[in-house]
Amino acid sequence: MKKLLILTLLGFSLAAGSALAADATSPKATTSAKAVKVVKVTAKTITMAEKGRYHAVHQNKEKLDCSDCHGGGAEDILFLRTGEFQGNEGPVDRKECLDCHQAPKKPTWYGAK
Amino acid sequence: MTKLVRLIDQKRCMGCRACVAACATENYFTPDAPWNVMVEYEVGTYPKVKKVFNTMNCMHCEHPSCKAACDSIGVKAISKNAFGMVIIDYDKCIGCGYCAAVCPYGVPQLNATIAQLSPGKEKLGSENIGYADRHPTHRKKSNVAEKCTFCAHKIEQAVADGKVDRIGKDQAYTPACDLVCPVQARMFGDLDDPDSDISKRIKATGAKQLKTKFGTGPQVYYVLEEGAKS
Repeated sequence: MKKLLILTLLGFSLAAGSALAADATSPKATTSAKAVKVVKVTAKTITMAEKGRYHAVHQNKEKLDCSDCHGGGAEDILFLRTGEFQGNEGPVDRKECLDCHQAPKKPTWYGAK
Repeated sequence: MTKLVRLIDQKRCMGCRACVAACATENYFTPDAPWNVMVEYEVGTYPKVKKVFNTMNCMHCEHPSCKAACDSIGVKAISKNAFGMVIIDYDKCIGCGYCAAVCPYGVPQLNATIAQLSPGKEKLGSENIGYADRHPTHRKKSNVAEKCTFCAHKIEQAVADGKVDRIGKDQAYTPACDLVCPVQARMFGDLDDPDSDISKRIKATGAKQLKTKFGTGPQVYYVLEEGAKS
């Protein structure tokens, strides 16, 4: 009789456990977990690297030529980053940037208020 | 309101670089990521030629393009405080380099590696202070952007001591670079106070800001040498 009682209690507890587990993996719970998932902004997604977002916007989308940004800064010596001014490969002539970034409906990085 | 600005007189500057050395020692900037540099170039034609010395540091713009770029990608690591200082939060910076790309003055530096200021020699200035005890702007990290802060640690101390009126006058409340100039070519103070020394000197000398075409409203003024670039 005792054995029967123990087996019955064990059976109830197992059934309750599996029911709770099933509730935790229900479609509703999965959906709410997805809803709070946030894409973190990192240097892997936002980067100046050649295959990063910056080049995707300026080179692929806006169809800028490499020389539009690179190699145009020889005259611009009022520049703190010592490795970039005096005509080294890589400097960006910011006069080119103004063409877009002060135009209406473009990101106003220059003179932004 | 208090609007802190700097005045640099090219006509007085002799290119000694004391301001650069003072900044390096005070702010522990590393060799690959300087916060203050001396740019020098010649103007005029022979035999009437001159050398122009133009120290470059952060312009702490009214409308900083670095902050606009940082905000536009949702990182928001750059802020501009009530005194007009533009500060980078190293804990929020992701090292994308957008601020460095858009600054017309080439100011923000992406510091790849944290190195000793004088490798192989004794430590200088705040290099001797433990990392946790340093001001947040001196807790350098690799691969984050950094730049001149107008010596934020000194300005914050002035605010804490209730001595905002002594900024630019007392050694403890004035940026290191402005203290050491042997020819008084540098000045720091409140432009919003019409009676301040710097307000009067900017007015008297007709000092100009650099690269105003970008519309960023730089808060560093230069007394330009004849023929100097602006």
